[in-house]
Amino acid sequence: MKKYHTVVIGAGIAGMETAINLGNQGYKVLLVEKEASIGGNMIALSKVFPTLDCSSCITTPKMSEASHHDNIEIMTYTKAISVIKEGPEFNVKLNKKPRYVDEKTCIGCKKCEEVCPVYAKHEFERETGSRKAICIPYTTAIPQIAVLDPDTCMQCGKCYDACPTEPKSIVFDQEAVELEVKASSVVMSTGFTLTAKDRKKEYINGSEKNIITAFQMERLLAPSGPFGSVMRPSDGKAPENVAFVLCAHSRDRSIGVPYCSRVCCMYSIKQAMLLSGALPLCDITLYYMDIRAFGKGYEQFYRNAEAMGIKFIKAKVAKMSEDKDGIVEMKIEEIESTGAPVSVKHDLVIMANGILPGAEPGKMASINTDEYGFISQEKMKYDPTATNIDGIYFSGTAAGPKDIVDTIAEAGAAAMKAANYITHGAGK
Amino acid sequence: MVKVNSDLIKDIKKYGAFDVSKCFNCGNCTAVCPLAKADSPFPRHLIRRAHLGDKQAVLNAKGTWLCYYCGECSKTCPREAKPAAFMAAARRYATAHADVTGITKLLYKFPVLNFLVMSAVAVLFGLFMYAQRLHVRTGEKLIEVFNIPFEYIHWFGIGVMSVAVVTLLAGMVIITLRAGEIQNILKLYKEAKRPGRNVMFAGEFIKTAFMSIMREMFAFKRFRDCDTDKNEIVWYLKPWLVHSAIAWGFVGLFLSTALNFLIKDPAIRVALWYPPRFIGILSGVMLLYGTSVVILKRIAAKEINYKDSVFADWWLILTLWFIGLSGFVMTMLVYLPEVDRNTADLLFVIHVAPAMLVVVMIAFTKLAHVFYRMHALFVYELMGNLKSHITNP
Ligand SMILES: Cc1cc2nc3c(=O)[nH]c(=O)nc-3n(C[C@H](O)[C@H](O)[C@H](O)COP(=O)(O)OP(=O)(O)OC[C@H]3O[C@@H](n4cnc5c(N)ncnc54)[C@H](O)[C@@H]3O)c2cc1C
Ligand code: SF4
Ligand code: SF4
Repeated sequence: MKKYHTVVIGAGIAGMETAINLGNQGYKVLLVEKEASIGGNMIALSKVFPTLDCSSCITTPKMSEASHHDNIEIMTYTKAISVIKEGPEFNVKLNKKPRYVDEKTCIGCKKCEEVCPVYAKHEFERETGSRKAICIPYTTAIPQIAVLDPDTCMQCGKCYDACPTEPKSIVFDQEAVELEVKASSVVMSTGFTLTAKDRKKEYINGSEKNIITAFQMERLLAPSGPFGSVMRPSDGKAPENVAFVLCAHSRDRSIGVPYCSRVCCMYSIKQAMLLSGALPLCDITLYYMDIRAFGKGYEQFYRNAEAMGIKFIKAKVAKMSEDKDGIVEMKIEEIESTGAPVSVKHDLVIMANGILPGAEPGKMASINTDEYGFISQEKMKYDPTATNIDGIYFSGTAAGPKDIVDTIAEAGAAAMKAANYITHGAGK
Repeated sequence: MVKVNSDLIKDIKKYGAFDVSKCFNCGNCTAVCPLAKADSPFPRHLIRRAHLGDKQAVLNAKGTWLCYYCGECSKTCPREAKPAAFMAAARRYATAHADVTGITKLLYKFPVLNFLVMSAVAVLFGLFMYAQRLHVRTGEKLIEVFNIPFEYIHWFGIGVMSVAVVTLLAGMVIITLRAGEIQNILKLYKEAKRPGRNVMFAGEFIKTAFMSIMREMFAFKRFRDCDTDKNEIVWYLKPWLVHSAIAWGFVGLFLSTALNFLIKDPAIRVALWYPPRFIGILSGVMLLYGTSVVILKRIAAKEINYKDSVFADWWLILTLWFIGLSGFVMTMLVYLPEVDRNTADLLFVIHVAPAMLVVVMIAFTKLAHVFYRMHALFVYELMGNLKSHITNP
């Protein structure tokens, strides 16, 4: 059984940063990622508040640093299944999913992708664009190895014929592999996922096209996005009157997400600013319950958006419906003036989805979680990255909604804690 | 200007609405409500007024009477503050404060007292009627066993009834004042009649308002607008239908009983199609159906609008159900062969006493809403018509 100093579960910005910090100190790290590429959610963002840095410009270097690091081994398309403590150390069970492509021989030439006749919804583009049944996950993916999606593949064999390697890299009969490794310490950075688009039935009933998720908007705004510009999904027109619905799936007991998702106010303001840059003639309105500009410089960021002419209206959107022309009608109360219930219309609506745990860290490692499945911060004040089990630490959104700044800070702290445990706690 | 008064919300909470202070003023409830209108925003607007202590705003609100408790606001409230339960409490509060005697307030605030008073009055009615029957049949005077002269009881009954009727009428006057600020009504009317203006007559205004109220009452128009779970509930269990069954069942029973007494001795066996009997049976079935469904729904407490029942809700629905059931049994007995007269009398009393109770105590129970809601909506409608007529004749 292979042994590492630390197994880091989840290769989002949190996991990568933790792994790099440990690797730089000379510890051997295994970085496990269930998706086909490392990078997590951050690599899919357009730009990031409050600096408006291009997200891929700051994530890609981290990705390549992690992947080229002598002390870091990366396993993608591999899901951590369980973490069991034995004495001071840990047994980590992994499940390596079949990629149907040989990782050792594939050279990432994309020949298979070119010839594949099947188009499917692109997960990385959050279904705003399409991909082939076999493809490199996305342009800056690491590793640059194709993945075949058995659900959409029709087994025509064209990719096999086109593949230039010898032997052929496409392996139709690849199977999942169960692995087990040993580690002196574990860091959980399993991240977050967004609430499903139809979480609140008052907003989405099924057929609505011009009500999109926050992540879809990130992709539409990203320079590397599917269209290179923002357009209405229903007819491809440039929207003229856009609404952002804040707290769409947060702070709402009626849908089981009573907590604040923390970053939605800020990312919505950011998206509104980027949109106003991309489509200067577009009317932009944000509907909010309160603006939670929680970090350094964030209030200023919000004020700047106001100064740019973005409208802020205090109201919880109660209902949405889309007519046959794709115009979305929303019901709100005019809280700040008459208190009257009114209807407002927009041609594109972006929901600020809520943030949910990206995995079930509690089940995986039998560590304590809160009632929503986020890792409990047992010693929040004096050991903020500790779990209730010595030797298991966490970083990033696995423990609750947070922004990149806080995630990075936690990643450093978790790495330090893991290093301490390896040298002192686990007795090595 | 209103002084902030944090006691108001505490007082309203005695009528229900226990969770409403969770509200964080997002406005979702008003926006989602199928009945809130620009000129009468609720629930959030009223929730806020209640927390601020603006008693008059709460009492004067048209919204209190517009709300039919579909529960849509409570279902989607992000704070689970139960705005619909607040509206119900505000309605109880407004009803209680339209009662000049202060009895309704006590009954709502102290359910145990409510139970005792209601039971006592029912027993009193029962005894009185049983004694009367006994007297008619055998000449025996039960009343004298208690040493109370018959007349006293008779006049006591009349007294209670008068208090109730006067209270109800006074309540309506109070509601009229709340809705219209009487000087305002007069001023508006004078202005409307200024020479040179082509004005509708007062009768017209009243007619328009009256028609809308009739629509409301006969077809429960707004209640049906409230039906937002279009497909989730089968038609025969829809709240508006069940409520109509109870309302019309009750009115029907009342009418048929009155007719029965006017035309003939109610205990005489007649053909089933005989109008009073026919109306009676039909109404009885409707009442029993409606009340049974509501009782089951309140017990199940699954649908939001049947969740937060208070004592007054239970009392009224159970009493109505009991009246329906006992009336049914009584009718059956008329068609059965030999029934012992005494048993028949007892049954009669058991049926009529609670019925009398409900009618006589109408000003002090939940049932007052029948009059108050109709009347309030009528007055608001009238005022609205008057105003809009003046501003654009
Ligand atoms: C629409 C949107 C816009 C945002 N914009 C900004 C912004 O402008 N500025 C900012 O500071 N923040 C922003 N954020 C927040 C930011 O995205 C997060 O703070 C950050 O991405 C969190 O990184 P993470 O590593 O904790 O989680 P993730 O990126 O979710 O990474 C977790 C990784 O773990 C993997 N994983 C999960 N379970 C397993 C398992 N069992 N085995 C193996 N791997 C597993 C996942 O596949 C994933 O790759 C935004 C968030 C959203 C939703
Ligand atoms: S075999 Fe599947 S993946 Fe390969 S080209 Fe055909 S459809 Fe695409
Ligand atoms: S929906 Fe709930 S929280 Fe929002 S204003 Fe209404 S009662 Fe208050």
